[in-house]
Amino acid sequence: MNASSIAYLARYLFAGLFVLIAGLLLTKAIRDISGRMRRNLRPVAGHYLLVVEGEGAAARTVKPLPLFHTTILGRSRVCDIRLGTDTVGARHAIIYRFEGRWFIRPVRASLPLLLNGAEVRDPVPLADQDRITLGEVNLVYIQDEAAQELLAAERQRLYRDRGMLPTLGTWFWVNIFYGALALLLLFLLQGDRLFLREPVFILLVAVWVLFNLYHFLLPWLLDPLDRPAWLAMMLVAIFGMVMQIRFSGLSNRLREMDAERMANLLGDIRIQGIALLAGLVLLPIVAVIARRSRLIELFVPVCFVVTPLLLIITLILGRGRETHGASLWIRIGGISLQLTEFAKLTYLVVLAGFFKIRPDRRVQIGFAAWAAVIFFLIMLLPDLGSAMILMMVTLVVYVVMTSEYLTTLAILVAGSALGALAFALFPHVRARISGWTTLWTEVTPRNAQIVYGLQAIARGGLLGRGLANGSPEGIPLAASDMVFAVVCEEFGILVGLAIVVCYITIWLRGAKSTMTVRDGFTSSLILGIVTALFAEAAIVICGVTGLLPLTGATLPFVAAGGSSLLAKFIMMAIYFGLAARREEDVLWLQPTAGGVPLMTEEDDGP
Amino acid sequence: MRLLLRNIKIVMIVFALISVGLLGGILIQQYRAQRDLRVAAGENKAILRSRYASAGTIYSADGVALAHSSEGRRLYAADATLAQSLSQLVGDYTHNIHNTIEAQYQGQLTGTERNPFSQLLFDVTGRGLAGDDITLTIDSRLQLAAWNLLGDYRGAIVLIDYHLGAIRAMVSKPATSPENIINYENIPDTALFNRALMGRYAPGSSFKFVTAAAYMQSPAWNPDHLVFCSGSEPIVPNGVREHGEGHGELNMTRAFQVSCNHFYGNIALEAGYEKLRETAEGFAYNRPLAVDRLDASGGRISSDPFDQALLSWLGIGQPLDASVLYASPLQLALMAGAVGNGGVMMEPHIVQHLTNPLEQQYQTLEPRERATVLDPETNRRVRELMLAGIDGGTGELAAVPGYAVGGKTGTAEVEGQERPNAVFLAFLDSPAHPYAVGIVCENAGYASGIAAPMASELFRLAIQLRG
Repeated sequence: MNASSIAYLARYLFAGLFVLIAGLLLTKAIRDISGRMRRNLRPVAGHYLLVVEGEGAAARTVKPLPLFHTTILGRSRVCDIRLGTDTVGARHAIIYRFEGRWFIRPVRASLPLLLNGAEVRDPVPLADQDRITLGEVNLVYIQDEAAQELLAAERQRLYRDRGMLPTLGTWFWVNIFYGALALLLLFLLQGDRLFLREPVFILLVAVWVLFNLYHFLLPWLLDPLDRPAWLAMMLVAIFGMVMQIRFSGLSNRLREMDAERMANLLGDIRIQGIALLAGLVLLPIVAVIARRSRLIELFVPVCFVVTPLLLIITLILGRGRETHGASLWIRIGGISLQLTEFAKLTYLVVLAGFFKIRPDRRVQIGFAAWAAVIFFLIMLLPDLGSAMILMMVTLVVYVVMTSEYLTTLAILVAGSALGALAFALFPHVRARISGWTTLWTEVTPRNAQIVYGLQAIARGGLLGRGLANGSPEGIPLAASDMVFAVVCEEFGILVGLAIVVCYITIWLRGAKSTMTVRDGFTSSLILGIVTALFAEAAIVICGVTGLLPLTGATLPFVAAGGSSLLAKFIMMAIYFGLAARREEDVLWLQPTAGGVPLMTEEDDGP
Repeated sequence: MRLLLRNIKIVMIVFALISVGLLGGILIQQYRAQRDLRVAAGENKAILRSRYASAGTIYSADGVALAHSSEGRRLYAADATLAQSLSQLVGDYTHNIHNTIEAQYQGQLTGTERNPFSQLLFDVTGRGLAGDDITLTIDSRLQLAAWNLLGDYRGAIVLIDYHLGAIRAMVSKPATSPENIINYENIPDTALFNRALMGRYAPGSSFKFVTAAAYMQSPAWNPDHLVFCSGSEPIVPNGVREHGEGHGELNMTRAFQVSCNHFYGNIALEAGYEKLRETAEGFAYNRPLAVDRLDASGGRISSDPFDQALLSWLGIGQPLDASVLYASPLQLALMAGAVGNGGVMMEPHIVQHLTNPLEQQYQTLEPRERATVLDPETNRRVRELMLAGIDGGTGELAAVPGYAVGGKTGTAEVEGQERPNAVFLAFLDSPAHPYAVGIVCENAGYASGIAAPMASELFRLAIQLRG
């Protein structure tokens, strides 16, 4: 039995394990989110409103009202607090949390809103015992410090018992999968590739140690860790690492290679390995900062300036280095950086900063102007893949945070128009589309890449041909843009689908966290991060499989590219930190005379 | 908050739809790619090389490896001459020639067309990645002999076993080495064209035995029919004529032996176009021809049914402007073989059997009748005619001592060619050695001196090899 046939036999194991793990993660995510959907309104503990009747000394409390991280007060049915008098607007005022403080503002500046007797137009911070007047309704804002302290102790007790989904089985299977894959990879590095065994072994062990260390350290650091998303991310990242080692170390293994090219193999592995390890080292640091501090909120104005700067730097320094019609790379001291990957992240932060609550028209237009500049710069690069991803993310965050359905539709139409404009302006886009339309009828230089990719997917069949038995040598950009085709060829369509399931899992976990975190900024940044990740994966997979006339985006965690990998790890680190913010205040203290009954997660809020 | 949750639900529904669409789309695209793109043209060499990295071996009937994979490379017959002679049949992994074993049996050679259950079985035994082997009916020794016999002529030789329909040798010149085909360089003009399978040659006088069979089956049939051959005078205006003096008065057998155009033009007119066409179609003219998975060109006959001049020319196997008559060298061999086989034409085969990684053989050659060409009585008469065509006829040089050989020479004029094509078909009349041969040498001259000796040599070697 030679190496190829062992790799071929092992495909059953890998397909089985990968599908098993992805299936476990997806079912967990779906079960969890459907549970959350049922008891969806989750008030914030220790903060509430009291409805007050009468003035001065004659005032008496009628009833308490819960506060959510974003609370809309008004007459309409969609409001969280419904006030049934004609003097109140349909959607009158918003009380929301940002950077740990509570703010209030009218939905529109023209609506009358008084705080301690003074008129409010722009957001104003709330303090304990502040008196809010909407029309003829009087409310008092209460911040119950004592209840918060009480809750902190209660929380400790509760989280010892539960709060984290049982993922021990999945973690075990991921380890088995990793072990088997690593052993096969090391075994395949034989003959003239033997010299790669040692560095690859070190890399594999380092990643394995960090993965298992973090799996138990991060829940403690972040309190808690979103383990299904963590495992889904690590599964794809580990798989991607093995694929990248395979691309550099095992390609052309049957051909004669000179010493110089052999030495380059190690260099390729080193770049990808360093990016992966750097990402893993940064992950807990970034996650803890996001979890424990308000640094990201403080960074919003910085990101506001940095995003266009990153794009402009790429535009200026990247000139003349065009690959495939776009110049996205800049070189600084021998290191190639793809700054646009980081620009995506800073864009998401700015987006969340603007849409932490439903902003009024003025702010929305201000954001639109800024976004127009960003999109203009991206189109100048031109990086249509990023433009598509950011467009999708902006739309999703916008519609979720503002409920502006009509405007969303208008933006969609405008986006399509932008696409048509791109078609008219960029010859390489036109070429791509004309190649795509003839995908099934003729092979031309315009669509050869996709056709070769599809042929590889067809050859792979259900279970694939085994690690390193595929033909990435024949597919242009196999390691980066077309990596999904090679995955399907070597591991089969089952693993291809399971990878998609992993991205879906991460998105579902993000959607769930969006509902449970404690302020609007966190909500929208989480939503932005997971949507960006999913959109990027969906767009590149659609492109590779010929579903859409697109390529150029990278498959997150799998495709070659150190900047992309590092940026994705930072994004996910921020996600893990933000998602952990949720559990802090999930309990709502219902004030009654005397005792303080606790409402735990299982109970519906009032 | 309530709004936010509602919006998230909306977005989640949209994402669920996108996800389902994406997963379904991937499956559909794979299905379409498997159906439409598997053997699409324009595949690049690197992909094909890796696909053939563990492909099966192609063997000749006598066990010589004609193509095999070793350490990721696809290698062709070790004997360079043999490899060159088979380049158009065995083919190349880059599929620069499409109608080859490598291209048409790609699924078997690479083992990608198996059902999941047998695949699982091979996987369990550790041979799942290996492709299937193919054993051809080609005998490498006969193949080499045929290649050498054809010499420097452009043309083709096909040797078949007329009992089984198995092709034992098949050469076509010019040809070039597999390396040149793969690199697509230094390829002589038309060297990628398999003349033996796809050549379209006017059969010339070698068609006369078909004319004789048509006449024998027509109401006008008279065994003692005599015709006076007057030489260069056409038998009908613009009709067939003879070179030089003429043969005088002769009967059918004598006319066959001297290949008299007057006589065969005359009996073609007697039999009529419909009868001639019918008989030719009995010999599988105007029908598609395939050799296992390979395409082949059979024969074709068509003409204006009322034009007597054209008909007289067709009677001697010569198409003119408005008429069409051609046959491939394979078709010539099949026709001769049918007469030797008692009037039954066998389906041609090139694949002896396939062998899967567990050494089980499948798709083993099963002799199958292609067409019953002639009734036994007519066939006996035609056979005797053809035996006379060698024994004392123009095909004398095809004789094999101790064996009866039947055949007919043909010399076909081709417009724009300095010399005529030499065409020859023959069969060995021996149940122990059922061989038939079809030979075409382009631009060569008279078949009697050029093609007939090749047949004799080939028959002798075949007899000697079978012992």
